[in-house]
Amino acid sequence: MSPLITIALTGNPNSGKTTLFNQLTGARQHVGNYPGVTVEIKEGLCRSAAGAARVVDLPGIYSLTSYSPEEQVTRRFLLGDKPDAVVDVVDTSNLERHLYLAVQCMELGLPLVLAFNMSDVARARGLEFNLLRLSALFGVPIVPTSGTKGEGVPDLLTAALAVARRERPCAPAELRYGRDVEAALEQIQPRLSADGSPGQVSRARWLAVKLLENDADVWKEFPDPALRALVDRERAQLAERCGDTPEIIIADRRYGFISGACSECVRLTVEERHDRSDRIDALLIHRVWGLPIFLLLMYAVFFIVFKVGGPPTEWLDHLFATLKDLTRGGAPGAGSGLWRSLLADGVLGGVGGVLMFLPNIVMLFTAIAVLEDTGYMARAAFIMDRLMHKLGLHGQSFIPLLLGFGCSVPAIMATRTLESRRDRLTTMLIIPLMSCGARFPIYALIIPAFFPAAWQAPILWLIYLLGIVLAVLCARVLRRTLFRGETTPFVMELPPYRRPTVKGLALHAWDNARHFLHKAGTVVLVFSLVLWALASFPRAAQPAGGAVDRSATAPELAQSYAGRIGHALEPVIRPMGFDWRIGTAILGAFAAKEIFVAQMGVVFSVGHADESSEPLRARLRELYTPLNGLCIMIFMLIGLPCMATVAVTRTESGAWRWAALQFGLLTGLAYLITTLVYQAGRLAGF
Amino acid sequence: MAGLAGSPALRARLVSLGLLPGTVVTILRRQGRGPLVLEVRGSRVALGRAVARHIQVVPAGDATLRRT
Repeated sequence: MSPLITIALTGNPNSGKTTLFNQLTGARQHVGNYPGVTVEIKEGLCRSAAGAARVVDLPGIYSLTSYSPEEQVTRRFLLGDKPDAVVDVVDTSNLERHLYLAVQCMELGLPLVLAFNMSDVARARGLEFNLLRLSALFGVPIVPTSGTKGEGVPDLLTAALAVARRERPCAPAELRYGRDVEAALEQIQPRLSADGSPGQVSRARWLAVKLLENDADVWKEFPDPALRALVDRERAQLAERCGDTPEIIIADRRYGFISGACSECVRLTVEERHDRSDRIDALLIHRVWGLPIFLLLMYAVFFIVFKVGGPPTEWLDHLFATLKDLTRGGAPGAGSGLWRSLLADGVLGGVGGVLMFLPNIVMLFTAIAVLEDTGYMARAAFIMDRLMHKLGLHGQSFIPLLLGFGCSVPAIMATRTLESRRDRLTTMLIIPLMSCGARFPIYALIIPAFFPAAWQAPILWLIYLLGIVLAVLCARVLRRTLFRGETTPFVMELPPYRRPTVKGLALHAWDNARHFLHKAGTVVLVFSLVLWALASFPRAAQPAGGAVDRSATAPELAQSYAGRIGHALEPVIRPMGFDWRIGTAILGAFAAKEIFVAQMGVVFSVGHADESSEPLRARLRELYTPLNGLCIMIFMLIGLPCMATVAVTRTESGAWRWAALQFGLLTGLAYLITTLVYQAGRLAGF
Repeated sequence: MAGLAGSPALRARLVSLGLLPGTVVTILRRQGRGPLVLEVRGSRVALGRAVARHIQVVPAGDATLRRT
């Protein structure tokens, strides 16, 4: 049997490439990160009567330069992994622009097939293509498809397989760049090919074009100063003769080829399809109405995430609580208490405490997928760009920051939509300052314990506001220090509005759910076990068997490592007005912020505690002042991102050091501010 | 469009979206000092003001500047 054929899918963003990929592979996909970068590459298996193939979905790009990680990944895959066939997905209702990438694939001389996607939409608009003639001009097969309806997908697969097996001729045309550029290429090309074989010559031609375009990635392959001098001379000469940079001259020839091909092979121009989109835009990005509509839609997202995702989350919470009780109870046996506690408090308490948010996560990503697939997301970024620009951020950063009020984990995952790494890291680092839902129980416990009813709402509001103000300040500081540089220019295509497909939405939601499940099963599990061990060892004398082994009691906890660490922390946290009890609870809060409340309950041995526990509040009032209470909230707001946040920052940024920086920076800031507030409060006599 | 300035990366990005000298663009929407929406080769592109500053335009129909 011959080895499995690899087909690579490329195409512009919004070309319907992903839909086509889903049609080809169904749910048989898996996601892999390309080594070294965090750009995702999906691949799946595809079987049909014509044969089987491995289909790789490359990131959506506009061009084959090497400025963005997506472009670099695509190029490295096309050149390095040498797929047997490349399918470039082209939106036929926006043919001219989408053919720009197709021409560049053609220049690469790859075994190429063009998928003329959304051909049904184009036909409905009265567009007619002379596919035979276009195919002859490009020198590659062209297959009309409709990803949403699944039309043409088998034909596309057959064509790609035939090209891969060299059963069907595929000789990508050679693009001529005009007299001046060709003269320069003739000078450079001989220096790049070792021998005169045809493959070498066409590759050398492509390399020469890329060097003329001053492509940084290709220069890395040729660190020869003599070559550099030659190319620089040719570039200068070209610029002088043609009055523009070589990049622009070459791009102009590509577009020239395309408009020539289109005027010959396409009847009727492509103006009408925007009529409907423009009418919708007249309202959705209106200078007055755009913002309120955006805010309303955002509110709807929150509503769906918490109201619709809420009940299933509660069911899961109950389910895990029941499982915990079942694990703790059962037949009492000597020695098994420790294992039970491990299972109940370590595994179920830790992993379960995170897993229960799965319904929220699924709802959140489905909502985002709807906004993205309809084309609204680009408009949201457009509306928010002015405001975010003042913070040194991109309009697209707004959505992740907003999601941070729900939970930092999906918010940090949502920074994937940001193209610039600087923007992405800045946004990621400040997201924990948006007060997440898990911090709410802490406020809900403390505010009523110390503050009269009239003060409660304003104090809560102030806490949230403090987070936002600090986020703004941090973003500005980060952009001026660590992530200095030009603010990413705001350049974005506004794709026409489209109706999302159910299959696409479902796959999107499942994708993110899978990510989340994987994380709960690995990183969170490990952290939970560590925290459990800290709170359980060394064991005090075994309590007399038989009684239900509630989680650790106060003296036990004081004896445990967690308790000892709390004691050891006391001198450090003293300036903030915290004692060892709060120190121990803070340690627990690292697992998840809401654990702080449960941990305080354990410390004060008032049994099961939740945020509405009156006995716990009474004990708090005995020991602490309102100033202490305020300081706890400030510290929990700013510092100590929970372990799920740390873990997701690590995976999303691709390096532990960013997670460590986030943790250190925020905790340091929290320490500083809390100490200032406490000491100032003390001086003022509170 | 008459000219394109800015960093190589920015220019490459604009070119890949179809914005290069000689292209006819239509400004569809401009909001105070906020971003613009352009019509370029049949698609809609949003540009921040900082980006738009790098694009030099002349009124269309000025045949001397059309390269096509």
